[in-house]
Formats: sequence, structure tokens, C-alpha cells
Amino acid sequence: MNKLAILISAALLFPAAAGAFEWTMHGSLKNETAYFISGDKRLDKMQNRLELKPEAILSDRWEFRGRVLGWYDAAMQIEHTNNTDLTVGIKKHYRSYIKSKEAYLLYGGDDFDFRIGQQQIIWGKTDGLRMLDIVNPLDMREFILDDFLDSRIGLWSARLNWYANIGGSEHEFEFIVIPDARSADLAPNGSRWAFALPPVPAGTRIAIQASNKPGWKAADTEAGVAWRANMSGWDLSLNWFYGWKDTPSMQKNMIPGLLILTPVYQRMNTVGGSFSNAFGATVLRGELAVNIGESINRLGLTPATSVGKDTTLNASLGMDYNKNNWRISPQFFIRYLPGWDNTVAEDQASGFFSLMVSTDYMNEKLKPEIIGLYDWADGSWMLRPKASYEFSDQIIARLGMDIFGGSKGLFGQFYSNDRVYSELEYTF
Amino acid sequence: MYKFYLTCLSLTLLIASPVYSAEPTGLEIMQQVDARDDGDDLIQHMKQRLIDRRGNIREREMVSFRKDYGRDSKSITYFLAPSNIRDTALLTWDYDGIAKDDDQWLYLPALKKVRRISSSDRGDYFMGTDFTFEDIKQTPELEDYNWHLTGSEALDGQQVWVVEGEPKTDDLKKNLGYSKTRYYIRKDINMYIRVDYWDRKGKALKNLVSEEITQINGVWTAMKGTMTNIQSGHRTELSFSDHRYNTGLSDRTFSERMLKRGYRAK
Repeated sequence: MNKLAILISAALLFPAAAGAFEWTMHGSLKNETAYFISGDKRLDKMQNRLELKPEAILSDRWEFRGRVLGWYDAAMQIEHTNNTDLTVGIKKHYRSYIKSKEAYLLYGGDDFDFRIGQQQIIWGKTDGLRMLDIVNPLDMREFILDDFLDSRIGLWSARLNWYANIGGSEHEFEFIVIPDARSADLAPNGSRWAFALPPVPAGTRIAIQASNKPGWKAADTEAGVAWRANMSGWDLSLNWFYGWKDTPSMQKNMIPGLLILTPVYQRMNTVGGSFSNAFGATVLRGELAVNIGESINRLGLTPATSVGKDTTLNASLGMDYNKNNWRISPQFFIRYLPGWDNTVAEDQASGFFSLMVSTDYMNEKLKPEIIGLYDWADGSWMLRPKASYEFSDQIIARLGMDIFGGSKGLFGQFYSNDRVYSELEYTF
Repeated sequence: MYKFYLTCLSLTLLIASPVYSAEPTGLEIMQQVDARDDGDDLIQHMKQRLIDRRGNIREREMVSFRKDYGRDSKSITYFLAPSNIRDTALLTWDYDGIAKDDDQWLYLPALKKVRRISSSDRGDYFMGTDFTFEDIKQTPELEDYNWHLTGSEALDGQQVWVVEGEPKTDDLKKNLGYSKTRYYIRKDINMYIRVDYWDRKGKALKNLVSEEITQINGVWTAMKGTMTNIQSGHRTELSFSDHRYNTGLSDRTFSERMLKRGYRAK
């Protein structure tokens, strides 16, 4: 919050008197209630959320934009404390939340935009799964079910977008520096949305040690460059990011009766690119992300043999088909490890297939949608039907389900977390 | 004698020709509508009122920018209100004729992403309004229709041409969602003041009425328009304000950069 105070002070120090600034405040009040309908049936959450989006026009060139999100989860009060998935610590983690998501100054030049402060920087063309969209880590307290806009962790960073006319078309060059390196916030161990721990022999306990997460240190700084242009109808990008893998690998140390796990965060380079173009009613889009030196889990049980580094290829191809107010979007993802051997704790090739179908009725008052994700390597899947109804300009209600299938893999590990949910949102 | 008849015929044609040329074809009238001076560029604010058959009203505010590039044009529209769609923005590069599909990009603040969207399905309805993507164009693609002048009459105290357009193929009818359109075009300013639409089955579907037509910076401009869907009872009222023509908008106004930046009134 100190950084936020400095940024707001900087905004107020602008040559014009603070009273001359044009401040606006938008936001929303929202109730999100979810109930587990498989496994131990209980309330998952009953969050009352407040989102505030303060903005100011400071001068002809400078603007301030911010976004704060906070909530109180009454389910943590209603549900009884237990020793498994609702311990005192887990309840504390989920009960309340207040975070600044974005708070940055924007300078709009003739040929460039410069942003400094806490930002969300989004790359790539795919929906739902992240390949090039790796700049901001996620808060995974609800796995990947929360909207990315809410679950992305804003990073304090500087971003320059420079625009140049080359050969009659506009080219964008983006440069980012992130001193505020961070990792994903994972769901606490033991909670319903915690990732499954590696299997251990009977009678063996697991102990998890504290880890060294990347932080606000010069040595941990992240940086990236991107190029974007529209060439012959194609929206193209090339990207490079030198950062940290957001989720840790698990270093293992097996001693009789005890497996000690130490989360290990490692740097990697990501190079890749994306494309999209429209052909009639269909938009074709895709991206490639090559992670050089990505931290991976190995099958060994010693610190030296349980974690390694490898190059991974991650690619996706998707299309959006629009007809008569129906939208159908299939996407195919593949992850491939060219240097794979049988000590690697994942398949050489893995990936997902996703399908989104949506439409609308009553002049877009009623919007049904279904998203399916299938992990073709592990056979697990997730299905997310949802319908939203706009009662008025300010009030929207949503009803939906999150259903998990399979017994292992990214989605299968949550097979006992099927849930129904409702949302009621007032925006202002 | 032969020379006499030839002279008489020539005179008749000479006298008759002005009458003949005063009755242009439907296509010629629509070409005049298309060629009407609407400024080289335009900034305007727009309010939408979406009203269902029960009288429930949803309101939206937008600001749009347009610039002509010869017969092509580029436009960008920002949604300002209500809050739940604020910062949604649509960028369109509109190419004349049917040889090349328009290019369109949509910025969705909930995703913080610019999405390429297909523009070929012009019969899709735009953001819950009663206007399709085809309707929100200044004039339809003239090559897509067979145009017929079907009459000349007085409407709201104005002399108008009545021109009907029928999509040339069944595929076009399906794509546009119309089997027929009928334009009522003011003869004095080549501007339509009413359009009737029939659905693909030939049933009356909706009508557009333009009102409060006035001259701004020398350009005839409709300040209000109402599209009423006869079948659903839903209607969309548009009201325009703060027009500024020919301000010399920069090419960079119509870019992905500006979609992401959003519009903030200064």
C-alpha cells in the first residue's frame, strides 16, 4: 500500500491544482454465492464484494486509473471449522480480501503511451488458458474459476508502448520492466481448491517447507518486449518475456516416513508470438510460447533429481464462428517437451481441447453460455454452463455450475468440487 | 419527308429527355444517397434507449469517430455508460464494395483484450439493439441489392423517392436477414428519412424513422432515429448530439492503441 500512497501523492503533485482534476468513480457491488454439490456438500463461498474504479484526468496528457477489489465471505462464518478443509487458517485466508488490482499513471504521447504503477499486462490470443498471458501471476484461491480480471495479481511496473508507421502500417513496440516480481498465490494446503500433492507410500507423511518466492529485488526484476502489427489483414505479435514461472516445482527430499516438499521458483525465458485474422464468419487465432529453461517436476525423490529445467513448446489454435448471434469457439492446446525422458513427471505431449458456445436472447438481456475444457492427456474435464440476465442497466444476475470429471490431472483432482453458484451484481 | 420525320423525332427526344432524366433509377438514387456529403470526418455523441414491449428501458451512451478514406471509411465507437459496458469499444475499417470484408476489432474491458471479430455476418444484431451491423452503416452495400424505384410521394411534408432493395441472392437474404428493404429518400437532400424492412420470410419486420433533420457545418444530419421491431415490440431510440464535422481526425484515432486506451473526455 506504500507504493499506492506514493503513486496517489505523485498524481496530486501535478502542476494543476488538485481541485481542477476530473475524478470519476465507477464500480460494483456483488454477491457471489457457491455451494458444493459433490464431495462434502457445503457452502463454498458467500462473498459480498465491492469493486471501486477511481480515475482522474490530471492534464491533457496524464491520467490516473485504479481498481480496488475487496470482499467479506460470510460462508467462512456460517460453515463450521474443522481439521481438514476449513481450518482456522484456511477460513482466515478466505474470509476477507482487499487488494489494489491496478493503480497507474498513464501518459499519452503523440507516438507513445507510458504507464507506470500497478498494472495488468495481457498478452496472447487464447481464452481460458494462459500461454503468452504470463506476465501477471494469478490468485488461485478458486483454482482458475474466478474471472482473470479479478484473479490476476497487479504488478508494479513500467510499460512503454511506442507506435511507428513503417511501410504504411502501424507497428507497436512494447517494453515492460517489472521490479515487483511475484508468484501465483495458491490455495492454502488442505483447502478444497489446493492442488493435489504428489502420491506417497503408505505411512509416509508430507511436510511442506517455506519457499523463496521472487520479490521486489533488483535481481528478481522481470522484463519483456513485444511487437504488434496488422499486416495484410493479419494481427501479428512477437513476444519475449524474461520472468519467473508463476507456479513452483516441488523439490522432494525423502527420509524414512517423511517426504519433505520445498516449492522451488525458477526463472525462465518465454519467446513466442500470436496471430489472428477473419475469414468470413470465422476468426482464426493462435499463439506459440516457447519456455526456455522452464522449471519442471521430475520423478526423483532427492533435491537433485526431483526438479529440473527443460524447454517446453506450448501452442494453441482456436477459431470463433459467429452466426445469427451464436458464437462457437473451439480451441486446441498442446504442450510438448522435446527433451523429455522418463524421469520427467509429466507426459511428453499433453494439452487441452476447449469449446465455448454462447448466444443471447431478448436483445441481449438473457445470455446463456457453456464452456467445456478437456485434458486429453489425463482424460479429465471441466464443464461450466452459465446464464446471465440483465434486469436493468445496473443489475445483472447470473446462475451457473462448475462440474469436474476424471480422477486426476488438472481438472480431475477437483472431482469432488462440483458446485452451483449465483451472482447478483449492481454496477455504478 | 424522311428528313421531316427525323427532325420531329429528334425534337421529341430533345424535349422528352429532360423528363426522362428527372426520373432516375433506384440504383442511381441510392448512389446519390451514398455520395451525399456527410463530411470527411465526424465526431458525435449518441444515446441509445432500448425499450421492450413492456416499456422497460435500458440506456447507453456512446461517442463515435469516423473518417473517410476515399470510398472506404474507418470508425471507432466507445461505450461510455452504463458502467457494466463502459470502455467496450468497436473499431471498424469499412471497405467499399463486397470484394473485401470489413475488418473489425472489439475491446472487452472484462478481458482487457482486443478481439478480432468477423464482420461478414452483417445480419447479427449490434449490442442488443434493433440495429444489425448492416443497419449501422450509413448506406448498405449497393452491390448486394437489386434496386427499384417504386414511387414518389409526400412523407411528413417532404417529397420523397420510394426505392426498394431486394438482396440479389438467397445467401445474401440469409446473411442480411432481410428479403426486402424500402427506403424513403428526401429528394432535396438525398437522405433517407424512413426505412422499412421485411424478414427472410417476407413478413414486415421493423422500420427506421429518422427525425429532426438539420444542417450542421453544412452537412444534413438526423438528430434522432428510432428502429422499431414490429414483430417483437422492442425498439431502439437513438439521439445524437455534439456533432463536429471535418476536424481533421488523425489516422491514429482508428487503431488498436485507441481501443485499449479508451475514451476519456478532456
